[in-house]
Amino acid sequence: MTNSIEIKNLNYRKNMKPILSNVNLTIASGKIVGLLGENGAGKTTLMRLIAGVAKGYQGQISVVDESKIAAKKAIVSFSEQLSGFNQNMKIERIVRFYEDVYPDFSEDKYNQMAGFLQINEDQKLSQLSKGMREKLIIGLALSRRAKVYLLDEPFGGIDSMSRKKIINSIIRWKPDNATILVSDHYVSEIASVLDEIVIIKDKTVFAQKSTEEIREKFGEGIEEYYEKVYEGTELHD
Amino acid sequence: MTSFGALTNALTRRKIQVINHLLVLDIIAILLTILYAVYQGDLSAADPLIYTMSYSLVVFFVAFILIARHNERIFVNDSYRLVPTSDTGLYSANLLSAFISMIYLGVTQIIFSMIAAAMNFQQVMTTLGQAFEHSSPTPGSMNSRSEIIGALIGLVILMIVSTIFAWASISLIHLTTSALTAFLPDSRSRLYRFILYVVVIAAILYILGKIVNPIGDIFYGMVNDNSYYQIYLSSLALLVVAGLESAVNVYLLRNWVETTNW
Repeated sequence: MTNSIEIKNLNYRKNMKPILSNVNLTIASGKIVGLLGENGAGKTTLMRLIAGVAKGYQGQISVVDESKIAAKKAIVSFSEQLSGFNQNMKIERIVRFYEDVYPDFSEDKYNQMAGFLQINEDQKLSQLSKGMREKLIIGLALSRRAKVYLLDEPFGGIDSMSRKKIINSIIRWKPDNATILVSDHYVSEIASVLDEIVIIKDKTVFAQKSTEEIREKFGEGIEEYYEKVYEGTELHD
Repeated sequence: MTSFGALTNALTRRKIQVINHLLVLDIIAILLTILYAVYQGDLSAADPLIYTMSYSLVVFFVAFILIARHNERIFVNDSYRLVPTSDTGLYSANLLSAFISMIYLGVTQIIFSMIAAAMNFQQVMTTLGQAFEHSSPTPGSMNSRSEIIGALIGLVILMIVSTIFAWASISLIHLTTSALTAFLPDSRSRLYRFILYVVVIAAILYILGKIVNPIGDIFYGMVNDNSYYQIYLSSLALLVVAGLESAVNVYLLRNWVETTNW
């Protein structure tokens, strides 16, 4: 099986503080991987480094064997927060922007997803509730035919129905060979769809386990294992 | 990878929208001023052109600031920095889209001015001829329409190049400050950022002063001091400096400047 993400000896500092230290991580293609860690652990930073928008790091980051920034951006779809758009902008204009600048953006896929997630393109960005905005972010990110999807905390502060819809979207529209890295600090919401988890703790990859292994070897649920790791009562590799 | 044309189109569309909003306000202001003059009973034949050109200055100034703000947001925003293109491509497309939007504004302003000037065309040309008489290659003979037009085109080019130079300088200040911020202790206080900006602005102005003058001297020696060709050479000198600034800006974007909107 080929690797979609390979990180070697990654160190990243900002404002004179280490954010990530000596990170080594390999993620195989086709998996849905949970990137877990408490707030401020460095999950978003790691995703931004993979996506190519965080700079000044030491080490190697390659995505499907690509290490050049522009090439990585072409194969990585990152769920960005749409803050670059005017809040009075209509959704249809944002979708048009995506169509224009991402050659792999699929209008068909987007239309299917917009229907499923009940996204109204006539609405302005400012009119969207938090849940609806998150649905739009996920819809736009998954509408690209990318090889790697980075979904950064897609369930933050949204209701259970929206969460279910987003999780169903991830399962339904994930291309077979694509890898999805989804970050969260609430494990229970995504545990059911994960093939593997990566726990960020103490500024590094503290543990990387397949969910199957956690259930069989440790006899625990993902959430239980994650909590024990964070409490320091679970040994890792 | 995103094509340069597609990216430029996408970036231009938003900037043209900003310009269109300004143009609506511009037209309303011109019409209201003319109506007020009519109401006062003192509207002369030259007034519509004077009003149009006066408001043009304001519109250009406001457009320059709004577009500059838009340019800088693009450099530090995930929505744009995630686009699969090189930093050189993004920088160039951003600057080109800003340039196109200002050309669009310029064309609309010329159309507005032509409409206003059509009411009193002969007097306008005579006035322009007198204005450029002292900058002719052969002083005293600046009466031909081609020379007037040549000088006018030179001024328009100088204005456009000055705008590009100013945008590149603003980007240089912004990107240098952003890059430096990552190396300094975390502080979100306004005073801290203000001091940092003041220091960076002072340093960049000092360096630019050292660069602009020698480059200008190279070009200025080429023609007669009184010639209006000086306008073209000034434009060329500014363009060279803007190119140097842009090279530094792309380097900063590629290696040090992160997005800040997450």
